[in-house]
Amino acid sequence: MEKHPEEALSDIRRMMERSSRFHSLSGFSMVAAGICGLLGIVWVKFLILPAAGPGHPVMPVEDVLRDRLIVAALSVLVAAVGSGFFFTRLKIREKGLPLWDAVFRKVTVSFLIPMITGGALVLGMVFYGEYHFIAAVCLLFYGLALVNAAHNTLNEIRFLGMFEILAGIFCLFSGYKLLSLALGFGVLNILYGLIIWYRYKEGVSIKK
Amino acid sequence: MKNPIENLNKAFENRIRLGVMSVLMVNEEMNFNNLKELLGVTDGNLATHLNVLENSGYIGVHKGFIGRKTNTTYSLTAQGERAFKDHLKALEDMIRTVE
Repeated sequence: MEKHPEEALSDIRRMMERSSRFHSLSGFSMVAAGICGLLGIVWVKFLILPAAGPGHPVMPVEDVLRDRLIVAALSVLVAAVGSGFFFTRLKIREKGLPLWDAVFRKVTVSFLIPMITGGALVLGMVFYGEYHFIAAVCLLFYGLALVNAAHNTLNEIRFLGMFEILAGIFCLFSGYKLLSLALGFGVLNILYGLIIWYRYKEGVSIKK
Repeated sequence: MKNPIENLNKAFENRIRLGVMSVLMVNEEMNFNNLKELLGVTDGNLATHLNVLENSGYIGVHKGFIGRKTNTTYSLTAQGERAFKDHLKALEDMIRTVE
């Protein structure tokens, strides 16, 4: 090794990066999650909202609408997380890395803490019938979760998180809820998914 | 001019020991199993190298429990951090002299 100091240094750098950052995030994961988000918006806009008119024989219309929206939101969440996990798993396997290693655990935990906090807040809002800010809170906490998780994964995720927070603020003050959700959960995820796919298609690049 | 190879630390010549030190530079602490996963080595092999580093005073060992299972974590000592930085510097100097 004494003859190859470059090799030793690149070993060191690789171990430092590998042990602190999750590099196997797949761009396709985010594109898939974004597509799920957009499909969810289409579902709500063209199927659920127009059908909410006449009301249900037993339940008042608001309750029917609320229940349908909750079903739509949960389905999108499950589909997005599921497809996201699927593509990232594929990428991990392709690289021959362990599926559930220390960095993957780390990034998952740092992502989930703000997500679960936001989820609890949303549940509370549903419980108390305060629906007005749910869309904005979803975007804001998703953004915070991404910024937090970015410490342990690709740098691009930090910027995505900041844009999600901006989308949340826009949602909060403009009142265009569906548009903000489509932008935040759909367009931004797809855009950043493509950026990440393009930048990292050659494999892990450890430049900085 | 002084030969920079003299400043290289023999303890870090081994790839596994170098790996352990690199990982612990950026992670405050790490347990045995995670180190093993990251470095892709066997239990016995890793344990031997961890012992060498511990005996040199470069890493500290903390024995704890998660439930009933032992959870041994490792972290750098101040001395270890200094030694590793010196080693890095020596490597960089070597590259510079080659250039």
